[in-house]
Amino acid sequence: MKLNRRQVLTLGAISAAAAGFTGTSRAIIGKAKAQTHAIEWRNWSGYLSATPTDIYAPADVDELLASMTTMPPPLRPVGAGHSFSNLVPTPGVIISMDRISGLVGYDPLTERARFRAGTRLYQVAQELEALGRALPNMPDINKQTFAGAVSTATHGTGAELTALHGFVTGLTIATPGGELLACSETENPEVFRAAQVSLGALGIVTEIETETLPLHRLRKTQWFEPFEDVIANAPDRARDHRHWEFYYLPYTGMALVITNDETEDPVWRDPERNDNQDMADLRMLESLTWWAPPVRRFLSRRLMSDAGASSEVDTYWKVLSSEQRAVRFNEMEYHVPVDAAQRCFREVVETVEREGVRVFFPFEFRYIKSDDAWLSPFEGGDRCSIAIHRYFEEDPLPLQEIVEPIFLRHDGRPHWGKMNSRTAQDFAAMYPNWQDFLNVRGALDPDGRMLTPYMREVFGI
Amino acid sequence: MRSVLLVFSVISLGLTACGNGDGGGSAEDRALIIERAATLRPDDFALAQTYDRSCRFCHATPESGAPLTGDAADWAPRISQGNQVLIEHTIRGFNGMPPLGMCPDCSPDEFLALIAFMSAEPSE
Repeated sequence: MKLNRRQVLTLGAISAAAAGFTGTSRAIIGKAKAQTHAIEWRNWSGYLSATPTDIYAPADVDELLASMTTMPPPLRPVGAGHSFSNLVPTPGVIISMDRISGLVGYDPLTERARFRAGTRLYQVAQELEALGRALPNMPDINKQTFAGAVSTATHGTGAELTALHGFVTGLTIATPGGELLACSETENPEVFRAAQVSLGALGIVTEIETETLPLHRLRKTQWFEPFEDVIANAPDRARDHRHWEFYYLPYTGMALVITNDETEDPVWRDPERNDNQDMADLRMLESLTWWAPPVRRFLSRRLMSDAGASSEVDTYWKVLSSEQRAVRFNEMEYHVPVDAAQRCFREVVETVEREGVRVFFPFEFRYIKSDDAWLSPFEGGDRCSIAIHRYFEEDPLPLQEIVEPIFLRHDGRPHWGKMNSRTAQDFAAMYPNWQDFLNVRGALDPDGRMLTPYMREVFGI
Repeated sequence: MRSVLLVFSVISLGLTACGNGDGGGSAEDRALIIERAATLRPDDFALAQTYDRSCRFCHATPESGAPLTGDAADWAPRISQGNQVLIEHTIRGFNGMPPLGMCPDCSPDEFLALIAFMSAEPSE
């Protein structure tokens, strides 16, 4: 007999409970701003906060340029606030590009599209869909601004697919000196290599040009499988699918495998899918069985093994990301060379479970193809991304403190937008073009107007 | 038998910027609310622009779980908490609603205007 999702988790919870154990578990800067207000800024998870002089959203690029030399520094761009590292907090001005968004144009000859910086990823996808085009890849979150996602090397999964910045063919930046600077492979190529992944440190990105693909549908298929089988065969599995990833469910010995492949089949959405309830169920299961990992493992393996596969078909971007309400969390993610990734992931699992850290959020494993942007974590070779999450109301540090050394032993590079403890000396050793980036940064921002305390820590300035 | 634990598909860890609530009433009522939420926009031009870029994607999308625009009944218990609580939850985040609700440059007055629009019973 196969069990459905609700039955699996409910049974697990009831079994544990039946055993008698329950756990406890702004100065006006721009002419279009109508008013001045001081407001506290927080990131998406609520973990980071700042009280900037102002949060400024220019109405257009001309207004932004006029303000670049007059705003009190340090200046920092904000996208959707989805970064977990200290990229945004500043005692100066936070600049939001939300009002400078939308499609600039599409060239059918080059199949490239140009977007304003503040365009959210889902809007990028919607605009391209109207043109019969698609982004080559998408992350599982689509609320970020295009500029924020590109500047932090945001990625999806796919052994043959780069991160978003790998498809970028040109950018325009409002420099700290108040000028517009365009760059591409042929125009200011050194600036382009730096600007593809810039952490927002070179100025304010105003436009991004990207390659596109024909619009396509994907079939998403997912199923549970013993973790050892999945991790042992990960490279072959990843090569067999356009998008392949898995989530390890801590203390269960089981993984949820997710594949996405192109299809001509008609749209089919799973009416029973309820991501929010699923996360609540996972949390409940952890709460009821944390005291006895072997029990949790036995129940999970037994119940999940009986679960079959499920699938959905829809336009690519609707399948790759979830529109359902999210459970907030804090995250650490490192990108590890593919040859070390399986060993690294096993070590993460063994260490967390040996130390007994309480966690119900799954650990994520994805593939990303290499590119040559100077500060791309994927520079120099293909990598696997390994991510650990903690519920936003829990302290993320105890888990991260035991996992980060493992990532570092396996030559991992941290995701620029996610929590890590690295500083300039570490980054200089990780990135062969580190000094080249610093040279471009220094040339574009000689007075350090973009340098917050965190940026100074990152760049060693 | 249908399978399972798409669960963790969840875990598209998808983030969204959204709140809570599933409305109520009959399936027909719910369908009408969903259809209406997709078309409602503030009359004020500037507020409509802010609504489109920051609020609409979640508050006009039933899958988000956020209270839908125009679903006054679903908004009522939230509104009854008063403006101070609403602003606190909006700025600091609450459950699935992220801090600042995808509008980092909005002032408290703008947040209240957006909430007032979304929570109002639409006129026929």
